[in-house]
Amino acid sequence: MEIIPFRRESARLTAGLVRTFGPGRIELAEDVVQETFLRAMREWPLRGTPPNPSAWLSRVAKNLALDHLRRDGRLVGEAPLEFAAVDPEEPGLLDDELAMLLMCAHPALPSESQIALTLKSVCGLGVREIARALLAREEAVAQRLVRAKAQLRDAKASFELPHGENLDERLAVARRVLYLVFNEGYLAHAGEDLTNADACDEAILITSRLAAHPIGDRPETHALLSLMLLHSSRLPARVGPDGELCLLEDQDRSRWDVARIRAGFAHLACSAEGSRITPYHCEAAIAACYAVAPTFEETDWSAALAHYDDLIQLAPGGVARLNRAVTIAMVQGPEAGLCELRPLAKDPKLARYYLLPATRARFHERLGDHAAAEADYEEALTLATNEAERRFLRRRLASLTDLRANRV
Amino acid sequence: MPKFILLIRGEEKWSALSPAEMEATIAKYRVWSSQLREQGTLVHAEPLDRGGRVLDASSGTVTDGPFVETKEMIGGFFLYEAADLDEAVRIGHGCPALGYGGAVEIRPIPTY
Repeated sequence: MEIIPFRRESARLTAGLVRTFGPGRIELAEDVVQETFLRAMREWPLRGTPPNPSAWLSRVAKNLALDHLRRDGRLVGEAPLEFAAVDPEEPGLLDDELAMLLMCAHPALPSESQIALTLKSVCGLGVREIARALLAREEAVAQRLVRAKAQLRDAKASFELPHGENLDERLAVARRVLYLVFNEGYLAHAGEDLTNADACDEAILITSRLAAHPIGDRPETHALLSLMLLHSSRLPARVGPDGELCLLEDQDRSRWDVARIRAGFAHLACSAEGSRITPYHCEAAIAACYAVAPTFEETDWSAALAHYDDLIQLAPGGVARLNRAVTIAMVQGPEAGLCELRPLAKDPKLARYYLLPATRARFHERLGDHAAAEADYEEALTLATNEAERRFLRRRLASLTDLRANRV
Repeated sequence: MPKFILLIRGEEKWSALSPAEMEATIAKYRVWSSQLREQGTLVHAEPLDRGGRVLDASSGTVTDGPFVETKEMIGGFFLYEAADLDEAVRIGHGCPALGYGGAVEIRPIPTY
C-alpha cells in the first residue's frame, strides 16, 4: 500500500487526537503525532515499511495516546479514540480535518496566529517550514504557535462543527485565513530566493479539499480557489532569468501554468452558482482577465476595471484601490492613474507600502517626468521589505539614470 | 565473509524534523537498506526500544533505561557482511542517519 504523505497523515492524526483530548490539549496531540512519526522512522527502514502504513500510524498513535490518558488517569469516560482513514481517491477534507480548519479560524485568535496554526495543524508543516513560507523567524513562529494554543485554551474553543449562521461565519473566516496563507506565500515568493511557493500550494490544496467537502462546497469557496489557481498560474513567470522579480507586462506567458489556468476557470464557473458576489468573485474575475489575454497589451483592461469597481464597492481596501489605479492608467492613461493615486497617499495602511511610490514612479516614467520618477523610486526603495524588491527598484533607477546620461 | 555491526546514535535530533522531512528520511533509508538487502550483505536489522533496565553488579542496582545520555543512546542496529573494515565503513557512509545530525558506529564482529 502506498505511503500517504506524512503532512496529510499529520493533519489526520492531530485532528483525531484533538477531538479526543480536546482543543485545550493540542500540545499533547502534537507530541503524540511526533512520537508516532519518530517510531516510524526508527522501525520502517530497519524492518521494512508495514503493509498498510496509514493503519500502522493510526495504531501506534492510538496506543501512545492511551498510554498518556492512562497515566493521567483520564481513560474512563473519554471519547473513544478512532482515526478516520484517508482514502487517496477522495479529494475532500475528512470531517476531523474540517473541524480542525474551522477551529484554527477561531475568532479569539489574531489572524497571524490563525495562519500559523492552520499551516501547522491543517497543512502539517513544521516550524522551520512555516517560517520559510511566511518569511518569518523560526522563534517568532514557534512563539506564535504557543500563544495560539494558549488562546484556544483560554477561549474554551470547541472542536464540534458550529451550526447555522455560526457555521457560515466560521467558514468565512476559514476562507479568509486560507486567502491570507496564499497571499503570504505569494509575497514570500518574491522574497530572497524567489522560489518559495510552498504556502501558495498549501493554501490551494486545503481550499480544494474544502471545496470538495459537502460543507465547504459553496460558491465563495470555488471563487477563492479560482483566484488562487489563476494568480499562482503566473508564479513560474514571475521570476526572470536572473532570479529577479518580473512584472506582468514583462512576463514570458509561455511559462504560465496552463493546467492551473484551466482549473481556475472550472472553479470560476462553479462560483457563479448562487446570487451572492463576494470580493473573491471579483478578484477571480480580474485574474481571469489577465489569464486569457495573449499579450499584456491585449488585456481587456475595461473589463478588469469593471471588476475592480465591484471589488472596491464590496471591500474598499487601499491595496485594491491601488491596483484599480493601475488599471485606470491602462484604460485612460498614466495621468488618470496619478489622479487616482493622490488620495491614497493619505491612507495610513499604505504609508509603508513600497508599491504605492513604485506605482507612482511608473506613471511618472510613462509621462516622461524622470526626475519625479526617480524621487518616487528612491522612496519605494526605503520601504521595500525584501531583497528581490530592492533589486527590482534599483534596476529601474539605473535604467532612468542611463536614459538621462544618454540624453546629455 | 566478515560481519560488522552498525550502531545508530544521535536520534534525538530527529524530533526537530517536520513530518515531510521524516518521510524523506524514511525514503532515503529505504533506498540504502534495500541496496544492502539486494547485495545480500544484510544479515539482520532491528530498532531498539528506549525503555529497558540496567543491571549494575558493582552497585547492585537495577535502573530504568535510558542508560546513557540520549545522544549516546543506540536507536537501532544493522548487522551486515563486508569484505573488510574499509568496505564496511564505505557502506556505513551511506547511512541516512548521518544526514540528520546522527552518528553511526561500525564495529567488526571478530572470528577467532
